[in-house]
Order: sequence, then C-alpha cells, then structure tokens
Amino acid sequence: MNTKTWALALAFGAPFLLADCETALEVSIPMFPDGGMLRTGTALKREQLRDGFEGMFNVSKGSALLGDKASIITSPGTVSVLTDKNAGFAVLGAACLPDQRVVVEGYWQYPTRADAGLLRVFVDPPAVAQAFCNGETPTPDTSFSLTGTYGDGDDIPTKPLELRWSNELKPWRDTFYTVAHHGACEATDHCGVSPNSIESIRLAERIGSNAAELDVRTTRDGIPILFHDPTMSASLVRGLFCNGAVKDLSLAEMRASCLMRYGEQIPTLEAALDMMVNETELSGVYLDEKTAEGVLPSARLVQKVLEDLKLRTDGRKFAPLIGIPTDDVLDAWHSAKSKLLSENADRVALGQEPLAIPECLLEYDVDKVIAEECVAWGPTWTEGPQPENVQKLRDHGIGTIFWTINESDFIEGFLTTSKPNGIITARAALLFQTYQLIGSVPEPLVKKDGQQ
Amino acid sequence: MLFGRAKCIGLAIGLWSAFALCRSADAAETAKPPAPAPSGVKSVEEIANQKGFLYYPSAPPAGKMRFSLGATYDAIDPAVMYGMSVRFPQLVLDYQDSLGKGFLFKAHINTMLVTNEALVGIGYNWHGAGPWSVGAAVSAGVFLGKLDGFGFDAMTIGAEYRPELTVGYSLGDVALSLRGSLILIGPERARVGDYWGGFDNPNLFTGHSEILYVENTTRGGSVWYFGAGAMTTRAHYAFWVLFPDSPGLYTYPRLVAGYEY
Repeated sequence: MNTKTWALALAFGAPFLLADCETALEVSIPMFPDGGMLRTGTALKREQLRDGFEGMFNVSKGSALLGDKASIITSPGTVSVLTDKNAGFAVLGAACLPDQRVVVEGYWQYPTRADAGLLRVFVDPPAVAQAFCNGETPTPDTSFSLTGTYGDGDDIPTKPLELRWSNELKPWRDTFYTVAHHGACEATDHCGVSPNSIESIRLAERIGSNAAELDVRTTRDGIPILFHDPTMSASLVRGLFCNGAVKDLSLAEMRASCLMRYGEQIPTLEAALDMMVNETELSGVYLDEKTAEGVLPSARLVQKVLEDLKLRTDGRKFAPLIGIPTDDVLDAWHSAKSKLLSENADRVALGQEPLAIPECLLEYDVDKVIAEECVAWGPTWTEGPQPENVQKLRDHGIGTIFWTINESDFIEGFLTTSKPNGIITARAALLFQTYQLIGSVPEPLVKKDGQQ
Repeated sequence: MLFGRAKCIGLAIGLWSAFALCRSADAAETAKPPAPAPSGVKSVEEIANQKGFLYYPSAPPAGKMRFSLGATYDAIDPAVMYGMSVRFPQLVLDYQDSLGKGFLFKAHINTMLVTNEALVGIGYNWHGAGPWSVGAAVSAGVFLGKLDGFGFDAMTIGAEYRPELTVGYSLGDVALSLRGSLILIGPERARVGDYWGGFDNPNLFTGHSEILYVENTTRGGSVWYFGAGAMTTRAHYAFWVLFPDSPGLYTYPRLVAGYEY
C-alpha cells in the first residue's frame, strides 16, 4: 500500500470509527435499594393523591434543586414535582407506612443534563399523614408540607428538602394542553425512554403532559405504528438486522429485528391508543400522520376508541385528533372522511347508529383549518407567536397548539403573546410550571353553532 | 459521555500515532530522504516556505497570502435533524496572511445561507527541519443563521470563538494534518416572528471537531485538499433552526474538500 493510499484510507476510515464513539446511552434512573420504604407501606388511592397533594408549593428548603416554587401533580400511582429549573421533575410514589407516616419517594431528574438523584419526603403535619393512613383525603392548606431529603445519583439522599403548599393550581386538565412531543423527551435527552414508545407516553403524563403528539407511519402490511423517521435510523432503533424503510417492513419483521433505542418494542397505534385511554388520564392525542397511507387506518382506530368511550360509564374523556401536516395527507384525509361518511350512510340504511367521525388538527394554513372544520391549528413555533391568527381561529371556535417549544424564553413569550390552548413540548415540566406561574387560562372555545 | 469522548480522542491520537510510526519505520528502513515529488509537483517543503498551507502548519515569509475555496458536508443524524433527510454542503472560504516568524492572520467563512460562520484570528506555526510541524490558532467571530420560508421566520446570532491545534506531517508531496478545534458560542439570541429570546443552556461549549486534512501539492504552487473527520457538537450547532436545547453532544462525520490558491 503506497503512501497516498494510506492517507486516503486513514482520512476516510477515521471518521467512521470516530462517529460511533459517543452513541453510548447514558441513562441511569436512580432507585432506592430493595424498593425503598414504599415497599413496606400501603399505596395511597388515586383520589387521595389527586385531591390531597396537588397544588403550587413554595420550596423553603432545596431551592438549589427545584427553584423557589414547584407544582405537584398526580397521575395513576404517582406524585410528580415539576419545576421550571432545568425542566426538572421528580416522579414519586406515596404510601402509608406501618408507623402511620406517609412517605413520598422516588427519583428526580434534569432531562437535558443527565443529572438525577433520589428524593424522599414525608407528609407533615403528622395529623394529615394519619388522615391519609385512615383512608381519608385531607384538603391541602398552607399547613401541609412535604419534608425530607434529596441526593445525587444513587446516593442515599441527605440534602434537606421542604415543600410547603401555597395555593391551588390553575385549571389545566382539559383546559391548557401540555402536549408531549412524541412522548416525554427529545432523542438527545437522557430520560431513559425512546420517543414514540409506550414507556415514553407513560412518562410524559408523569412529568406534566396531559396530551401527547405521536408520529404515525404504516408498515408494509398496512398497520399504523408509532415511528418518526421514514427509515430505521440507528439513533432511534437497534438490532443487527433492523434496516430499511418503515414502509418496506412488515410488523412481524419489525418486531423480529428491531427494538427502540432504549429496548422498547415499536408500538402499534392501536396498542398506544388502548394504553392511553385505559392506563392514563391523558386528555387526548394528536396523531401526526407522516404519510398519506396512514390516515384511513388511523381514522378507523380513532373511531374504535370513540365508540369504546361511548360505552364507558366512568365519564372518561379522550380526544384523538388526526394531524394533517401536508396537502398530501389532507387529500388522504378527504378520501378517508368520505369513506367513513359513506360507511355511516350504509349503517344508517341498515338501522344502525353511525360511528363518530374523527376530528382533525391542521398544521399549516389558517384558512384551510377553517375550511376543513378542524378543531385545532398546529403551527410551527418557528414562525413566531402569530397572535392575530390565533385570535382569528379562536373567533371560529378553533384552538391553537404550537409545536414544538422547548426553550423557556420562548415558552414565556408564546404564553403571554398568543395565549394558545396548548403547546407541544419535550419539556413538559417547564411548560407546566411556566403556565402555572405566568400563563392565562385559555378562553373556552365556542363553535359557531354554540357548542363548546 | 466523558469516557466516550476520551475514547474518541484517544482513538484519533492512536490512529495518527500508528500511522506516524509506520511512516517513521518505513523511513528508517529505507534510510533515504523523502521521495522527490513525482510529475514535477512542488514538494511540501517548497510550498511551506513559499505561500504556506492552509492546514499543514507552515511558516511562510511575511506578506505571503493564501486564499482557499472549498466545501464541507456534514452527515448529520436524522434524530438531530428531527427526521429531515435533506443535507446541504457548506461553501468554505479561507484567507491566510503570513505575518512572519510563524505568525499568521486568518479569516474564515463557511455558509449555506441558512447557517453562516465568519471568524478572524491569529495563529502561530512551528515548522522545523523534519516532517513534523505544529500550529495553534485562535479565532473569534459570529455565528449567524437566518431562514424565511419553509415554515420559518427565524434567525439566530451569537458570538463564536474557536481555539485550534494542528499537528502536521509531510509525506514529500502530500501533507497530512490533524486539526482539533473547540467550538465555543455565546451569548446567543434567536428570533421567531417578532419575538426574541435566549437559550436555556447558554454555556459556551458547543462542541469540538477532529479532522484529518490531506493537502496535495501541484506544479504551480496551488494546493488541493480533501479530508474527513468527526464533528462532536450540540444538536443546536448542527441544525440551529429548531433550537433544540439539549446540551447533549452528537458525533457525525464531516467531509471536506477544496483548493488553495
């Protein structure tokens, strides 16, 4: 091999060796050894968490971790502390201990920094803890506090932490939508879950989201799945034989060869919808249809969800929207809608109830949003807050949900300038806390026919 | 991350060292001076003492200028680009003016219109009698991005600083140079629509690059070069228009090529 050949080989070989150097996953979600104190206690009930813990808290000790104020929200099985400091959050469990104390413990994390640690607090005053242990749900007031410690990494927490209840939260459920951007975190973050995975959706609710935006593509055999990229890119999936375009792989081939970045299965849309409706309290989902082929099968699955919801007696509400990002998808939406309406006409002719027609969210042209009678507009934030367009749509009873704002300066600016109905973000804790601190509760949307 | 980065840098140094050792062994074995330049092209030594090289650390006489036109191409991961599959090469312009005694004035622009970097700086090169040479430089300038249309009405602007270290090795008529650069940007502001704001992670450290350049001499004293290397940067630097705020670093290959007049 002569000199120039060596030089060429080295020049072109080195980067490919180097390029693989920093793909190691750096996630370590801390856990208390042996399940911590939660293992010895009795978990509090869902309504005890929701009605007994939620609110805005002053951080009297531990502001280095959480800033001066933090929100506490709850979801099935968890209590979450949300802060605007580094978009941080803590995901905790709560249980009554044999000695009648109530422990709230779990982990905290700054998702963009790979910083995380353990956190353990106890309900104060003891009378309130006693009430929880008796199965009651005491209404929080300014005497209610959570006192304990937090730490770094897997170290047993020793730094003092005290959160004192300050006031109720602004309305947010079914009111202001903190929409998880393809799940809980960005692909560049360190949350330990892959974008568009079931696990990511579950985490999204725990860190402040009340809806999710998910990316829909279809497999070769026509099954809608959640996946962002058109191909099996190495940054999103792993697997020796996991290659090629999504549309060229059957679901079976995909399942046989591919796992998502953090080891999860690539979910079908059907499984994700089922999980969201039955295992979370999320208010809705915005299905970002990446291809025209996915629109009709997605719409059919949405119809099924809406029909199932009709049969439920627990008052569960869930709003799945078909997201339309391009004219191609809009054309597919037109034909899907025609087909569903035609099928409904057949059902009516047979004396059956018509099925619900899914609602849409259009991402681009304001006038098309109105013409298509979509319920929401989803503009990119990179064109600015556009308050005139937001108001124009509000006048038509149409909401606005910007995508995807992760920066605190811009979240503040959009919340105060446009007062949208929601924002898609990968920083749910930051958006939630900022909305609580400076946001306005969106005006109810009233359609021209007077319906809310 | 720290281990990964150390592994990368170690690997780069290892590759370079292995290659240099091979060359040294080869040179010792043959016990003869570098082969004369074929086809009459000028030797690295001649160019180094005339107009100098853009990358191979050389110390041309005061007043000697070098102008270069080239292109770079970054194969950025779709995850960083939010799944966008389109990649554009950047146009690269460089200017170098020797101040004598190894000191150089340097100016650099790279642009693909949407993303622009303009830097000026000063460098010092040590070029001894053997094939090895070493150079250091520091530049400062502006990082500017602007895009109207395609769903954007946005711009970003920030101060940029770039310290660099280069190790060069002459192969007779070909110069190899490994350049490591630190990319520091800040403070930085961005506008969307009419709204201006800053970023949540305003730390200066934006990334680093290690690129191996191969500079080929010609008969007329011009130089054509190509090279490749690893860029390790925040996603924000790789694709500013979506302002991802994660300080996480991503590594992607960069290919370069150009001509030095």
